[in-house]
Amino acid sequence: MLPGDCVSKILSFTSPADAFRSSMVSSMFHSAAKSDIVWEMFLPTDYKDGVSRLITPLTFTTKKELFVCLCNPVLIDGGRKSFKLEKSSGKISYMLSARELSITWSNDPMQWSWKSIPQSRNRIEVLSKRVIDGTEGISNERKDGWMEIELGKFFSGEANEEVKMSLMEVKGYQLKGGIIIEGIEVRPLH
Amino acid sequence: MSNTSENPNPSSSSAKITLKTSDNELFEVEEAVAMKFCTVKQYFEDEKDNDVAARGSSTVIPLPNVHSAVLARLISYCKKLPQSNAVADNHEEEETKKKERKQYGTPGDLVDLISAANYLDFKEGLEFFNQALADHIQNKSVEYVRKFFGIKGDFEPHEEEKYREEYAWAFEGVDED
Repeated sequence: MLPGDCVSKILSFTSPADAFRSSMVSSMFHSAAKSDIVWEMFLPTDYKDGVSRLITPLTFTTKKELFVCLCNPVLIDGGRKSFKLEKSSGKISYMLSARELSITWSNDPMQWSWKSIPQSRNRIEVLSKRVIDGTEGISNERKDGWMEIELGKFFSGEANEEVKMSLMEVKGYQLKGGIIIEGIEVRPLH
Repeated sequence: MSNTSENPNPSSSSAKITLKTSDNELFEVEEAVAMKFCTVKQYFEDEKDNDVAARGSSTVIPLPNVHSAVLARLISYCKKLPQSNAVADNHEEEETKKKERKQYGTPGDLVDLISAANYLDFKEGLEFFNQALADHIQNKSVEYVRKFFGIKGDFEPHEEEKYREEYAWAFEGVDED
């Protein structure tokens, strides 16, 4: 049988799901799968930058502990954004809160109001539309109870490029209301 | 097998080093190839310091943990080292690399190659063969991995059951064995 360090190295070329599962192979695999060698490879390459921007510092002793902590959304940049890792792949997704978006008339209390609601992951205000009017959108319900509308897909190339996302009405000019915007989520495709 | 121990021309231009495997086979390899094995390099340099051998070709470096069949494969791998082990940045490139890794035979072969590369401290080879082995166990069931390495699970049934419940998501959708 191979030495534990070799097994760790091999597991580091698999995926977080493989490493979690491999823990059950034997007690030797269990300790090999906990190694920092493995989880260092599963954390995003720029995780140190993300961790340095956390508003509540995390306590962890191993890379695996850190990985597990980051699988739940963590607030960064003064609470205006959050990110989390997908536990099966380690891919990162970001949430840009409503405060980070540029929304027409968002500072006009006659049009929109800022509210704090406990269900929001952003822990800062969401934007709520005042005028009530029945509308229908193409939206899907998420596991967390929010509805979401897909804005599009993009490929993030090698270079650091900027991506612009926007949403606007293209037909009909009725007044709408009752809409609450939590933010925009940017997540990996499979 | 590329056993070159009976080299008819020992005074050829590039320096050669003789390696002796666990089954007493002698391999005469180019210095540049042998120096990729850090364990050999260290031995070679120590010998030089001790002034035991002024000429590299007269030194025989014993490798008691490496079988001739495995060493022959490591040497042939060394001679056609891939350009880089860097993570492929697109799908196509990754597939090509996977195919290349697949050529290195059965799982059992890979375990031998990894053990030997680990003993020889042959970093590039170790990286490559580890990755080749990872390809074999990716998305496979626990039972498959046990069979693959010929090891038995040593957890109590209740411990295993508890873990499988807690991490049920990681056990879903694995490949059929």
